[in-house]
Amino acid sequence: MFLMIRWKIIFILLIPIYSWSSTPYFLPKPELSKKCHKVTKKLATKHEENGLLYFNQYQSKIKNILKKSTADQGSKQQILNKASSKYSLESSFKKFVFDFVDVLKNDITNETCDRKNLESLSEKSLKFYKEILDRSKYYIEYRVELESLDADEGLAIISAYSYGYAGRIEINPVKFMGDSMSIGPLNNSQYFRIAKLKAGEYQWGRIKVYGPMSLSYRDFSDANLKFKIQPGKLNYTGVFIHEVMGMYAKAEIFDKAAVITTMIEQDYPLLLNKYELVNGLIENDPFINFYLTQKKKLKSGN
Amino acid sequence: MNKYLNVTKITFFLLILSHFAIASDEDKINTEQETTVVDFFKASVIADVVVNPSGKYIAYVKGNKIVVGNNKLKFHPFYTLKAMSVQEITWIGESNLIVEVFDRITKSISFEYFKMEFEGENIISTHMTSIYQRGYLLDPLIEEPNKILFAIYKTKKEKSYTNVFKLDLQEIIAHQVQSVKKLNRSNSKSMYWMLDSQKNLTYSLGYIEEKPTIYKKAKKKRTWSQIFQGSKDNSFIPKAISKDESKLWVLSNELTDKLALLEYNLNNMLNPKILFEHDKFDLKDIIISPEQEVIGVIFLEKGLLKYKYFSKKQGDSHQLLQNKFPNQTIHTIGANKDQSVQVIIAVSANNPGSVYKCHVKNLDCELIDSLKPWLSDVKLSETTSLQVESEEGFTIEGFLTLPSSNKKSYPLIVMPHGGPIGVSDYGYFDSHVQWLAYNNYAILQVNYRGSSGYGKKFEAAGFKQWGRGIENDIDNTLNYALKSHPQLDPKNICIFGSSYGGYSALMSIIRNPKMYKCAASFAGVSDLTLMFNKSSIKNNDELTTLLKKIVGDPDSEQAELMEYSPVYQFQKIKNPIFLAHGTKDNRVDVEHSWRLKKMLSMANKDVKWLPMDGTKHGFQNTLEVKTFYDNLIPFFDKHLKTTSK
Repeated sequence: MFLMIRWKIIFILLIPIYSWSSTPYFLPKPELSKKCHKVTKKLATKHEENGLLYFNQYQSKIKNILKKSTADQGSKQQILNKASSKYSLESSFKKFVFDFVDVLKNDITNETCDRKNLESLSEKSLKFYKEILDRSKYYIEYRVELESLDADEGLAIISAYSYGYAGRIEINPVKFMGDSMSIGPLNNSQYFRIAKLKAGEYQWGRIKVYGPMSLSYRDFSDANLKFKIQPGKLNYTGVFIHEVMGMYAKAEIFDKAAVITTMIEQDYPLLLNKYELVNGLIENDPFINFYLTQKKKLKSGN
Repeated sequence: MNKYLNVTKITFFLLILSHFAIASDEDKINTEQETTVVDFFKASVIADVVVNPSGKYIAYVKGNKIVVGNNKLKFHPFYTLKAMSVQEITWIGESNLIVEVFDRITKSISFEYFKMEFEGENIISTHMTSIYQRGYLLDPLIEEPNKILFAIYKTKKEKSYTNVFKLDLQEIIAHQVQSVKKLNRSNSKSMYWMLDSQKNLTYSLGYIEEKPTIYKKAKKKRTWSQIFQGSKDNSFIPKAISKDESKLWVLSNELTDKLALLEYNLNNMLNPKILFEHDKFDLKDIIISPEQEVIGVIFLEKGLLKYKYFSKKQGDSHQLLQNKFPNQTIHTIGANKDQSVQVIIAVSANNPGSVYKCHVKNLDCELIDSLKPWLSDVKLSETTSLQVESEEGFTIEGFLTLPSSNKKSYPLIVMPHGGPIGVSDYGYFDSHVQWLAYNNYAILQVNYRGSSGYGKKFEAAGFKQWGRGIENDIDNTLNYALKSHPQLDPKNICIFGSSYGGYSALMSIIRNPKMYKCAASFAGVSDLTLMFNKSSIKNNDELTTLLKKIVGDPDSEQAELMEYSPVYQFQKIKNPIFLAHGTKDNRVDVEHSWRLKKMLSMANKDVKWLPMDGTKHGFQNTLEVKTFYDNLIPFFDKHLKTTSK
């Protein structure tokens, strides 16, 4: 019972959407025909009810997912905040639910009052909204799953940037039958995520390149772009940077420990507290240890 | 090696260009009447001046056009550069030109061939063909119209060399150069080539495991044999051969500490003669007469190129021309075949340069153009050179630039250069220095140990001296400048540099917080251990070995590297810091500044942080320069007392 109350508080703090959705009012526009007024009113009510239904279902799923988290309530709130801001739940609700209802209320004329068409638009709008909720749910689920590791697993901080277009980018184990993964596509954009990987050595490999009529690969397997994953640890692996230069492309791993540590501190503080952060790119690079030690010292006032 | 014959003419231009290589054609942002930072950095209006064999016509880059003509005919624009830069312009005979162009968007090189017809006052230009190859024009083959010798760069199994082709410019189709038969069969080791009087390939120069290696072609045979191999640790720069093809003149430090002029007998390459060695400075170039004899050398003295002729007569002739340009130094950047017509540049620290066409005999010079005419009404600052003896017995050269305003006291900015090995500051116009001086700051530059131009020992003395001997040299020169120039305010000093200069600024304020009130770094190194971590360096044994030699070993000397890294010494930083870094800097990754900024922010230290999105290791355009200085000048204004300004 106690837990239930706390959850309610969290959700109220987090997403005040529920409180916005008071009973829908619908004043008839004098120029609308009775038939049209009836159609739009019914559709608006249904649209808003469905939007709320999706949101309530989302809340209930999230509640169950978060039960699996070992985090304290504050950290759970952070995870939710992150998911909420990442997929902008507030603005999504406004965009796909409230805005559509507003359109039905204010912008429909007798000429545009086509029931089938409006129903189809409502469905489309709700579909987008549901997809956003699903993505948010996936993000939280994925995030909570990172909290528990098998004995031979570690967390890998995977970060990449591509100047120009890169299709799927492969990451493969070097010598053992570990996990392979792929990220992308990236187009003048970055990728930043924490992933579970079996302990061992990995390398960045091929990048899919889509031609007008063909599919080919840029292979960087021989470029020795490697990193190591230690079990039970949060492994920094550098930043893979791919750059397309006309007909050519190059790829390198840069050591950007300060940049990535800052991002981890912002996005994954719980994981940073839970697991030891180690350097899987350059084992003897002193920066991460130095930074964490100094941070501790400054925090304790020494 | 014919490629080298042109070096005398272009060395100075390259030297000057290095100071405004960051400029671009973004003039749009400078719409105000008053002088702004953009005026100091925007591209010169004139570059790559070349005179034709008779000395009658000149071609050069003017703004975004290439023009040809002379002062009587007026200059006729014949090619417009769209996001391109000119690498080289070469006359092919009296009236044709090849322009090597770099396309900044596609990153491709092309050679554009033009025919000129001079009819009375009219000039008619026709674009004949383009060659899309990375290579160089080996010889214009003036005796054979429309034919050239062209060398194309090749790389095979990480070895670089060139193949030589005789091209008929009237027949060649842009992309089909390689279908022509190559002339260097059985020699795929050489980068540069030498021709005999019949224009046959006779000698070549390649680099085998970085060792300069000379090959000789057997007469009437295809076989080439190695006749010389130098050491990879020394410089060996072939400059010219004698007319009878018996002697090779080389700038080398194989036998001496300073880069000296050596003469080799081309028959056996044994027992070279030292023709000239300066006791203090490396030679920069040699002077060749129209008869193809070596008649003098060029070196930097007090930061300015000095011409030393072996005969008084030739020296006097240069001096007479020099006398026409008081308070400036003149340098030949181009000449016609018999050198009777020379293109010269007159320049000084407070003059970005003016280019003249001179008839040497009657000392008649006509102005072609000034490099930065918009600065002609701006009072620029003078630079003087200082010499300080170090404890180790080296002479350290510095350059002090005082603002042109008549104040009793100036705040000082110490400005160490990048590198640290093999780079130098000069006494010529420098946009950064002049802009800061225009803002009423005195500037001190120091050619600390490790700088180029002062011999092998001096350069090697800079190895592993990061935060140590190098900064001692800077401090010593600063102390000397303060003693010898009372107008410098010893209580108002900051230090600023880029790349190694940024590192030096940060380490100097750690070493000497009482001396420096603030430090500014652009693209500065802040963590010596980080320099080894990028995959392209980690996977390159040669580069890693070189870096270990210059910086130290991150494995066996990690504690030392940390001791001399601003990141790990952040607690010792007591004064305000300015950190700017380009996010696309491939040489010193932005992570360097991120690390330091992170540590300083965590400790609540005073740090001004300017990440520059998309900026590389240097500024690519005037907008970047403006953004940078619009932040830096207020930083200096805040921390250096304005009362003394």
